Amino acid sequence: MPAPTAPPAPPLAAAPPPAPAAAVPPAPPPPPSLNAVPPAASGFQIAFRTGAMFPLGEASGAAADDLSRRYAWQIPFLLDVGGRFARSFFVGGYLGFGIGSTGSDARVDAACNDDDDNGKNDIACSAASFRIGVELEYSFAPDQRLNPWIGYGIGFEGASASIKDDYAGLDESDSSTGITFADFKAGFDLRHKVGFGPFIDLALGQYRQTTTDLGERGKYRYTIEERALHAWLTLGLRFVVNP
Amino acid sequence: MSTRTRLHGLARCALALATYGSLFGCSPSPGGPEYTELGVRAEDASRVVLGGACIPLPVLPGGTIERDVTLAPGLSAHVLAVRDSVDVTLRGVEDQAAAHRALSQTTLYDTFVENLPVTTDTGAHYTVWFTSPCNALDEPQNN
Repeated sequence: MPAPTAPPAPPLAAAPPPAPAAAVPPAPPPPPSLNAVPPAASGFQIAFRTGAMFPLGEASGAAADDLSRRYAWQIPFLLDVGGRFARSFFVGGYLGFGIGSTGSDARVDAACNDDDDNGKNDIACSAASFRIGVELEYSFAPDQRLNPWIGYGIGFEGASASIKDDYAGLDESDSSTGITFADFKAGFDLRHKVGFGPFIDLALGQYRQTTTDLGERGKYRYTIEERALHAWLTLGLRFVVNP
Repeated sequence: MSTRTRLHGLARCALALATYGSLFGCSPSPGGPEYTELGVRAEDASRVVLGGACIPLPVLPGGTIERDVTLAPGLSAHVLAVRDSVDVTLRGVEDQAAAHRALSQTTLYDTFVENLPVTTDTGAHYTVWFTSPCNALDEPQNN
């Protein structure tokens, strides 16, 4: 007797297609971490540099006319303004001035020393400088936290020293102006919203003209015939917006 | 310390003594540079001054004063003064060897008077005076 066979199973009903998943809105991007490295900058960039600026070389070819005899070290205030492009490049202009004192010349030193005790400074001596030009910079790691950079600039510069003698009622201000042939700079930025980092800057130049202003006694312009190479070495910190 | 600076210091001390009756607060120098100047002028045979100028020497290194001074008809001087010296080149003179004078600041700082008879290219005779201070020839003589 044949074994009874099980009745055939009823056909399975076709399973309904899975319900479409509810549309999940994409997760909002996580808030930027304070420690996130900003992407490589592009567009407008501005930097401020300051530190200490030291005179090197000779102001002119005249005997013993060292730049450091005319001007002591100065405190510079420099702005670099321009634009970033192609990730690593910055092109722009620089503008700066520095303030300080007269240099190491012994006679000027003695003249500027008011050693009476009348509580009044009868002799005021000071020095200042300016520079303006165009520059190109290259960043080695524009999207990294630590971004080393180098730069080159060319432009105009000037420096002046003055003495104001209230005792004798006489003033003198001597200004020299010339060309900055090569302004080499390098440094690195720690890139945050505002980057900052140390830099070194060596500006090689040559003065071409001198103006001696003696106040009421006359103002004289002179084209320097014996020119010489000098440099201003700047060490300091720079702060960069949009680093 | 230079004679002038000493004299200034002494005068100030004397003034302080007269005013305050004591030396308190008086010291030798309020500072200030050693001002130096050079007077250049030309006279004719009758000692009439025909032209000239007073050129101060700068006191700061790098200061340079360049001037062309008309001294007389056909006679001029190119003056280049720096802190340590002054060069005078006479133009229009017959004797070119005598046309240049270089004077140091130390020479000029104390009273200096020198004259140089010159003949111009046109044959005129003048006397060129170099003086420091500029009015050295104008001050009354104390004999």
